[in-house]
Amino acid sequence: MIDPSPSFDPMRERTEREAERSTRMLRVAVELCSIFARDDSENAGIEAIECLRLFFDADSGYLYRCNGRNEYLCCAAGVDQPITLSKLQWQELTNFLPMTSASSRFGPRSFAVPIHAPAFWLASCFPPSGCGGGFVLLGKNSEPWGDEDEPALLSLAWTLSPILEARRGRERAMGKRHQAEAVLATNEKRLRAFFEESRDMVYTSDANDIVTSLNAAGLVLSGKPGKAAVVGQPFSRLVLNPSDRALFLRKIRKEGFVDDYEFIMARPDDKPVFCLENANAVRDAEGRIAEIQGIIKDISERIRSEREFWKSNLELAEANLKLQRTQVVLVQKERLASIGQLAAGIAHEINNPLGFLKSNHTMLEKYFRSMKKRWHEGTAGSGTMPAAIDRGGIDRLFSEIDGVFAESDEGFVRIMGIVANLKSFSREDRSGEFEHYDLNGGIESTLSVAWNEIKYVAEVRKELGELPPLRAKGGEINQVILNILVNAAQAIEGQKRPGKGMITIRTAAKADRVILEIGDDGPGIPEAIRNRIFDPFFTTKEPGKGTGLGLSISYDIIVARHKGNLNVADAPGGGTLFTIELPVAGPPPQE
Amino acid sequence: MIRITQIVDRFSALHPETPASVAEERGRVVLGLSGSFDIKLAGEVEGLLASVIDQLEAGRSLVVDLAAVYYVSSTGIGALVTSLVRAQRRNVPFLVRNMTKKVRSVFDILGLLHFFSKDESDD
Repeated sequence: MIDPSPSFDPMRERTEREAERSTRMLRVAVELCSIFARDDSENAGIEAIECLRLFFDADSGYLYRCNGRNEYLCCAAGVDQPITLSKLQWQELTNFLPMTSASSRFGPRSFAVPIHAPAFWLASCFPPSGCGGGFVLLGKNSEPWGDEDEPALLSLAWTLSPILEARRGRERAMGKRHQAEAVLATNEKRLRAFFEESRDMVYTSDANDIVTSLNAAGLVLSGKPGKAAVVGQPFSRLVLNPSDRALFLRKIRKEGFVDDYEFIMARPDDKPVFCLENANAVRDAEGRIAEIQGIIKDISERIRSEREFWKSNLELAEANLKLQRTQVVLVQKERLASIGQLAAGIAHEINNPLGFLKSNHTMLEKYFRSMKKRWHEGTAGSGTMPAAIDRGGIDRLFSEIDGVFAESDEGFVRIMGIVANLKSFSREDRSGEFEHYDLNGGIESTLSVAWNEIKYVAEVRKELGELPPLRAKGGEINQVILNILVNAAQAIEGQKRPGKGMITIRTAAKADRVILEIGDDGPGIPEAIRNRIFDPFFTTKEPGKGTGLGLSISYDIIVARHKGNLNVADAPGGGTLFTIELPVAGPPPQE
Repeated sequence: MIRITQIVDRFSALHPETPASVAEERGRVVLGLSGSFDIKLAGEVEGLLASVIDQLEAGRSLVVDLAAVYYVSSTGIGALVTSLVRAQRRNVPFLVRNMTKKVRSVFDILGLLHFFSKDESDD
């Protein structure tokens, strides 16, 4: 009997069913590709899992994936938005998957994450990376999954895998770009804050030095009301001396940078602001300056301090100069005062030889007249030499005249010596320089000048050693010696002693110094006033006998000007001993 | 004077872009400076002036010609102030001449101009 129904061929039917399934799978694969091609968002995952759920006739579907931004996402079929899982949740989920291969079927199982748990699960990773990159879960409540379902899902997972991997790579790249953009944005913000909030003026200008930007501190420094008053203007308009800016530009064009460049800012209120600038040039590909970037600091306060310091130094130097000049005048006045004081004595010293010179002159005149008379008597107007004259008388006369000449010579020598010593004593040191000075010679000339003050009250004992010439201001040293000698003589005179006193003068060379001691056997200086004798205007003499400046000036001359020492002590056996030490080479050069 | 010329020549050899010159004029030493007295050069100029001042005997004038000095910073001013003080200590009259308007204005703003004696031959 022949079956009227179309012949049933199980093989054919199976083949047709497989072909139909293959066609459907192909369509699903195309659809899945299409979904991811048209939708870049994570919602594509939701659409894709819904497509798979329908194809496999599942009750629920989940597509898990780790995207390129390392976010763990769960796209559940039928929901609006993917769920973001924590890394811990993701790890727990993958640990719960009973996956021994890329795909698996398994029975009821609850997952750590709150998802609907059906009776039968079908799972597949996205090969070849395994479950780490993501997986698909499909669930059925009513019946177990068929044998064909697992390879079918795996096959579709294979199809999706490169798409998801590509998307992941793209997301990773975008993530990096976003990250870089975020860093850039942060840096931009930081730099902007640095630029705007800097306490120093920060500015940029173009190749023609037209200001292109400046910060708030720049406005404060320049005194301008707003950025519009500066931006777009030549920088040189901000500088008091525009040629300073020209020099700045020459430097930066040549070297590419300028360090510590000072200039004065021109402000609308005419208040000078001293500025210190550091700048560098940004060049283009051709090496031309594209931009100048500079930082300018207000150093007015520092300059003000320096100016005060400079002014103090200059004022001090001027005061010192005036003081020096005053001291020179004072020393000279004191010297003239001493000479004035000693003038009577000096006149007396000159007067003695002058007296007998006058007497000799009178005598010579007398002799001359006597000879003239005899001559006229002898020749008796004949005009010829007399044949015989009083030979003995003439010889006596000549002998007496020789004596008068010899005595007169001595007188002249004494007067000339006094004048020379006076001149030597009162030398003015006009050059202001330290010159060669013979200390022993200075002592002799000073003694000569003071001799009339000394000779009636004291003997002078000199023990002058051999000395090298000193570098000194001789006139000043002579002044010191005179002060001490006159003080000594006056001190001895004041004792009203029956006999003369003794003044001892010693000199000696000692290494690079010379020592001068002037001692007397007078009353000495009381301990109570010894510390004051070098003070200006201190004197124990009666009015008119001293200015009180002698020892003060002496101390200044020896200690301050010649860098020597001047000490006073009790002389052995009573009296006063002044010791002067002077450097042979003079004072060291001034700094 | 020979020693001063040597000092100035040595300075000029070391700083060919900002040379100095020296001349004798009516018994005074005239030192011509040039260039920009910035932080780099000011110390060197101060050293030059100190060496020249130290060579001069007391009372002999030093005239500093600033005609070719086109920029002066605070360190440059400091160098000139220090030199003036040094000269005064050594009793060397220190005069300036041919100060440019710009350099003069800096000294003027700082209130230091009157400390510097102007050379009589300065127009």
